[in-house]
Amino acid sequence: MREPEVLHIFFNFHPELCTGCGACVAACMDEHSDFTCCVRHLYRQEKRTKHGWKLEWCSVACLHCEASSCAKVCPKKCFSQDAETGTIQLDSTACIGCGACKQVCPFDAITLTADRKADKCDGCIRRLREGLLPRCVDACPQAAITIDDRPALREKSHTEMIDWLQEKKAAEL
Amino acid sequence: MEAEIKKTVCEICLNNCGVDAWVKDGKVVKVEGSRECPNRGKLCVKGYASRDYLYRADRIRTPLRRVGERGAGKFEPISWDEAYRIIAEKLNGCKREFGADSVAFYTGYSKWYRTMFHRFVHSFGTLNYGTESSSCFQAMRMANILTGGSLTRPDIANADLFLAWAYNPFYNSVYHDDSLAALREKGLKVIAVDPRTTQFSQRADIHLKIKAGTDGALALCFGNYLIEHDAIDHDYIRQHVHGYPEYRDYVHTFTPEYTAELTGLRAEDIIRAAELLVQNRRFAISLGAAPLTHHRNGVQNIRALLALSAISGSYDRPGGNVPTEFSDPQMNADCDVGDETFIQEVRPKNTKPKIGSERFPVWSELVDEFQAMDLSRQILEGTPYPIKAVFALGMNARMFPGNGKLFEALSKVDFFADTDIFLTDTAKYADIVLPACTSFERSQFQGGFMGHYFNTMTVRWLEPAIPPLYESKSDADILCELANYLELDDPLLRAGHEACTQRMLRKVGVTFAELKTTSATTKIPGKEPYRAGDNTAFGYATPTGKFELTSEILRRHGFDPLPIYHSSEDESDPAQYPLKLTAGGRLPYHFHSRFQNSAIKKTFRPESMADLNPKDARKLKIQQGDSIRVTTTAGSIFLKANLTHTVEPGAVFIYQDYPDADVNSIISPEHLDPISGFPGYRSLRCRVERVKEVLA
Repeated sequence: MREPEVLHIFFNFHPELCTGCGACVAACMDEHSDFTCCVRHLYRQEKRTKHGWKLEWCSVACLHCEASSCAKVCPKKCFSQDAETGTIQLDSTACIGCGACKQVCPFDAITLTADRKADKCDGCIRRLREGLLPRCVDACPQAAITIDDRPALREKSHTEMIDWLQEKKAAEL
Repeated sequence: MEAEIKKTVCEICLNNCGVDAWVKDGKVVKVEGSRECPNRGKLCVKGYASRDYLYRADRIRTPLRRVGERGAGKFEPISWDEAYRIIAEKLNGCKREFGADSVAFYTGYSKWYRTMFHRFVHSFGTLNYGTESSSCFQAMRMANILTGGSLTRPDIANADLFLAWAYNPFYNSVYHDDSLAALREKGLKVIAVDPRTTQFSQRADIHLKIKAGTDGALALCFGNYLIEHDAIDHDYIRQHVHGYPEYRDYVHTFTPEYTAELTGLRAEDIIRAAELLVQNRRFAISLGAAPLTHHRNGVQNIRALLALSAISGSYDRPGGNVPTEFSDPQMNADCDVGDETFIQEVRPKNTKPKIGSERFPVWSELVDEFQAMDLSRQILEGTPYPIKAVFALGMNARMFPGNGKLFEALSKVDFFADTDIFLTDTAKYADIVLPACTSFERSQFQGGFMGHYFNTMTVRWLEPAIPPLYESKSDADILCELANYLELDDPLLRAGHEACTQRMLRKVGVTFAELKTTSATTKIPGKEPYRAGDNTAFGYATPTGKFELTSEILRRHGFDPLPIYHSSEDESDPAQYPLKLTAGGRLPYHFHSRFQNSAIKKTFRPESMADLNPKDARKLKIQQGDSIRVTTTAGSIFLKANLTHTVEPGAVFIYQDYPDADVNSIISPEHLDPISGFPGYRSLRCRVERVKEVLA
């Protein structure tokens, strides 16, 4: 995928700030789905620490990551990168519901709708174009979800989130 | 057509968060928080789900008349005219035959119309006005009045230390926290006292993970520690405190070691927290309207907390617990915006004592509402006088403890009318159901924003963002229209909501015409917030005029005047019921009965689950998601297990709003605080067992 010509938006998440209030999820549903489904998920995990247990939350949707494995595996080329914002867009018209994108996404950020079409966060692209923040970013009272274009931070943040989700899966098994 | 922003408020809970509703072709297409309101552009998970709430399939569409058995939910639509006629005929019939006191008037949520409703009840001729505050807020207010003569608020902004007792600002009141975060950067210390680990308790300087309901013991221990370390204000105590010697002698036994046994805390942690109090005597205490009051010793526990404020000398001083004018949860204003006169100018004379007067005399003396925890008993037993009809707005019978006792009572009354947004289980018992609209669909006179926490001395008039859906109406309009059908001798009420607002505004000094020109809030001219120290200077509104460590009102009613500590648990056999159940807590995506069929409930926690510590679960051979039975002396419910370290071993937490596993149904209706009448939802004994499958 080519380098974007303008600001490339990446979503970041700061787990130490998240309180698990769920405002991001409801705001996303208000913007995106008429409350029928949700492309943003809230996960909870209790981690052992020196002094006991620590409660942590993680709010996850598509991070519009550089790897974009979803785009690489899609047999119908449903994914594309928006030139203006750098966000990864999904046009599911041709989607055959094979679930390949869902399988490769390290954030489990792709959902299959009831009619077996892939669905994911579009980065609130209409809002971005108007100069507004995505709804989840705007809704979070703790500023735990941010957007920025600094590669170092995003890589760290994305790796951390992958580790966090894997740790959660391991703990559940 | 482009979407247009209309200003309204979210009234799912009571915080009155400002909402920008994006309206297109008469439909709300998006909601955002209003940036100019105290919620500063944010809403909580419930507020953001407003469109789901607004357009849900279980909205009541027309007035309904019951055609099946009570509770079966079989209704036929009727016209408003017919519904009003039937209600008026029945209520006036009861009044003619048995007197006005034979009708009980009750309101659950919402709160905004309560001033109107209270006047309505007075004009009907009875004092039998009751609300859901029979299990929320009022006991905390009572504890304040019995002790310092006035409700107080923690003046966190000027405190050195915040004693965050049962406090979690992250799950509602979203605007509480950012001011706190700023204060902490400036050096405010925080002690969290909470039986659960929360994201707030994790951020506190000290978290005391106390056994639910033992708060009073910890407070008495702190009192003892402050006295022993001479961290008390001798001058203030000499001049303004009543009963100090008895208090000093009483708290003496609450050593850290003894208190550790009672509270499940470690003595060294108690001392560490007490030491912080000694070093930071300007401390503010949050008093929790529900978590601290839902115990058999609830009022006395809160009095024990307030005692700390007095002996340390932080009561009625900046940074301490400061009296507030906010008196009743009527308008949610910070001050009287004409409500009191409006309600009392039509107060009836020669009425019978209100419901619950015999059983809850302290409540009846201090609260201008009946104690609704006695409603089902009075209906079923008919003493001291019979209740023949119930007229309710937003009644939620599942809020009342006891296995369907209020449902049973509601099926016995001659007539029951309920008004609600959704066809709740309670509404299904009504003879007539009236459809109420949401805040988006009505005009409203708004006092402040969750009043006493913010001192927003403002008034506001809001126009509807969209017309009422279906045939629903605003509660205030329903009351005024019904007043006409009832032919109440109250021309003002019969003239409608706007006329009533105009009358109330007389006391405020802003004209209705001025208010109508803007959707922004208008500051009440010349109105200043209470100034810390005024009550101390002029004397407290208690029988002795002093801060009463020994309450003379409690003594007069035969209760121990000291803020004594008793266990709040029930007396059932610990061998049979080894665990301790705490109900009544809220999840962020629930509020009373309002989210039972919501999309966000399905998203976050579709099934009822009991929070259980993994250690207990191992012993009981229970794994995550297993079906379990929770049993108390009052009965059993079936639900799923949720294993979590956020609760301590020995504790079980179950949340409200799951009708298929209604935790209140296994709480005995007699398990309550005799001073306030509040149910002891949060401390009773239970047993948990794994079951093969959930039995229907």
